[in-house]
Amino acid sequence: MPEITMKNITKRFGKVTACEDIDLTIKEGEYVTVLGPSGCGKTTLVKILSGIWEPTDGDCFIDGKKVTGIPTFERDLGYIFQNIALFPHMTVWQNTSYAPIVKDRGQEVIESTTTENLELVNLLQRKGFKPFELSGGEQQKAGIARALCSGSKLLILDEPLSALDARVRLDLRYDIKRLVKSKGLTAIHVTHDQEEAMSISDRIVLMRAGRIVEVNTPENLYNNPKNLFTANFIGEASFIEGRIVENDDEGNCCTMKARNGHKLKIKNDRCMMKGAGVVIAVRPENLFISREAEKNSIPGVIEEKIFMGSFMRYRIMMATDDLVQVEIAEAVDKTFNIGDNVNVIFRSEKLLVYPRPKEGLQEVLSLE
Amino acid sequence: MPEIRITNLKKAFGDLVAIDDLTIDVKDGEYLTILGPTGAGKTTLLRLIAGLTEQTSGSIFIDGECVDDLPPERRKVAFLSQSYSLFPHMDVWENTTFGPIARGWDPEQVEIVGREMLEMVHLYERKDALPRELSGGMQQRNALARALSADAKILLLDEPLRALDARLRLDLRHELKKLSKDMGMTAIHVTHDQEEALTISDRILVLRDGRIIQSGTPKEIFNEPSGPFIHHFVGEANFVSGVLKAVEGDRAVITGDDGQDYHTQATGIKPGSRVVTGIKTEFTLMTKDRWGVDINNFTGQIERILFLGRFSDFEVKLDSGQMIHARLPGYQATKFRAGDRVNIHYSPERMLVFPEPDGGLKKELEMV
Repeated sequence: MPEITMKNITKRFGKVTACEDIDLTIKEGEYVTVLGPSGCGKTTLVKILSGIWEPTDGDCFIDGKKVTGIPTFERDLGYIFQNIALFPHMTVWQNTSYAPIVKDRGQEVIESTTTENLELVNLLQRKGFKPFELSGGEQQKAGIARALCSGSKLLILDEPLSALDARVRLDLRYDIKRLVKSKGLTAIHVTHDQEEAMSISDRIVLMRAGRIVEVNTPENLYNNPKNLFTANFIGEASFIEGRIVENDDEGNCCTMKARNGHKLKIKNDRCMMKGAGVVIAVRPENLFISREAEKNSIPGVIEEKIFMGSFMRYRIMMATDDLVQVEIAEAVDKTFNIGDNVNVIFRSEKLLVYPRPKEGLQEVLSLE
Repeated sequence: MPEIRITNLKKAFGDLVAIDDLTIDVKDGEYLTILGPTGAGKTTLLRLIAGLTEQTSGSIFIDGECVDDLPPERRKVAFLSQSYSLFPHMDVWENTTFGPIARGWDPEQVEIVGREMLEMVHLYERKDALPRELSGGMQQRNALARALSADAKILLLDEPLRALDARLRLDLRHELKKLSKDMGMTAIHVTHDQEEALTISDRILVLRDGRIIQSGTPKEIFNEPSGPFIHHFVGEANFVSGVLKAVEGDRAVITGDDGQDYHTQATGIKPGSRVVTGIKTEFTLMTKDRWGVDINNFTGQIERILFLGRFSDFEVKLDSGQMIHARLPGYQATKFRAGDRVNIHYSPERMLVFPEPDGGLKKELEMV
């Protein structure tokens, strides 16, 4: 049963450090996504785990056994590629049955394993098709069936949905989650798509510049991110800079003064002491708009109005010179217009608060 | 005034018709998106307008002038391809000013245009960098600056965000539209991403198999799709096939193939006809307790939950055996766990009715 441990993994290519001092344990049956912007080292990390590259420093363990130095084909893992990589001259059936044939499993096992896995991805009826006769989504389903046929309990998914159309991706997420869980596999999935990561994972490992930023469940990363980069990368957030000017008696409430003298009340266990420079992060669905000023509101002007299906998104330049995004369900939207003077209403318990970074807010949030 | 007028445009590659009798009017200053699955003919259409490939029949007019016989460089269009195609040995400045220099502008003018364009895309400070030294987002902006310095008033964008990280795409959408509007350009933007199309467009054309299947504002496309395909492609919908039993006032009743009655929006279709009715997953209500109305209520069990931050998507197996999806906002989603018994309600006014497509519903919904 595959449990994975990575200890102090560092990988350097010449002067460039792709991964630095990574410690990570993945439990048996867990679905873990390694998420981050291009160049953060996420692909390097799974290539080290799968034995495609050797680490400069540190070791990988699969089921407690050190695998450093063991070649890929002896590590017993299924691999799903971004570019799908089916053999173009082979049919779906031939592609899928590749692993059991290579491993000399015998005609009976080859037959039953291939049938079972093609059925799981709903492709049995197309077993005689060549890859070019299939849609992109179907091709990747064949790629998944092929990986499942290896019989390995450890599955590595390297950007499996990136090459597909946006709408096709949404449907395949359900399939992947269903398959991995029903077979009780341990899965490691690499992606730059935060929505994909949230939808499919038990836990997310968020990386940036070769290091792990935060490891947590999707719900915790979204609702209570421990740092500003996470707040911006997982879902979207608006940010307001200011300084704490007042603490109340209980210690979990404080008042922040933003630019141009506007004040906001914050209710959060991580409230900071009077005098601290802070940044507040807030999700678009946790803000409201009103024509009248209300308690805990800041005036602003609507710059943009974007229809998003069941809700409307407003981009508002507030009197604090901060741009905030507000999402209002279509059913309750009172239809504000571009140029309207409005008040943005903050719910004090929905505000996330962080120390103001020394290197500057934009630097910390940067996606590139 | 950069208007585009396309009449009866057709492009065939041998027997394969890529673009089939398209007639389109694009208004001055409009931001138009061409949305469709892979293979719909989107890129071909853009290449025809740019003059990079020749149509089989039909005509293209720019500012009232027929450009059918004009080479690409005389059509006053800027074309930004998916792959950016920057010259790898030239730096940001040389790539940006390549067009003006090639056209023999005097050095002073080249200097002004180059600087103006690079400042607009926030790259002036990196003007000495080579493409490989830039991040994906910066390369994209460099390519945009180069396209814009061609002094064109029409911007043709072929999947301009496809090669970028998912999170970065969200930010660049706003920048792209703003830039195009600020410069008073007319833009045609090709994408397979329905969310991108909804958020960025003044108007969307949905293309499938070389034909326009709907043209409308994002709101119209989302709320009043012309058929089941768009209903499911832009957003996501649950469908039932059946026979239209009766229409009364603003409601209709359909007897589904599962034997249950479905109350829907009124329709002009004749009672007795085979129809398909569908509701967006965003408007599919899911509750623990039964609704106090006695129509369109169903029971089922949650099979899977995909957490998406602002939303969660639920896969529910109805007691009829049908699998449906429901999308709930975060604050409602937290109440449910996989395995829970739930009630599903379809609001009649959100149930859209279409004639049953030729070849059946499954074929209609295929995203090839």
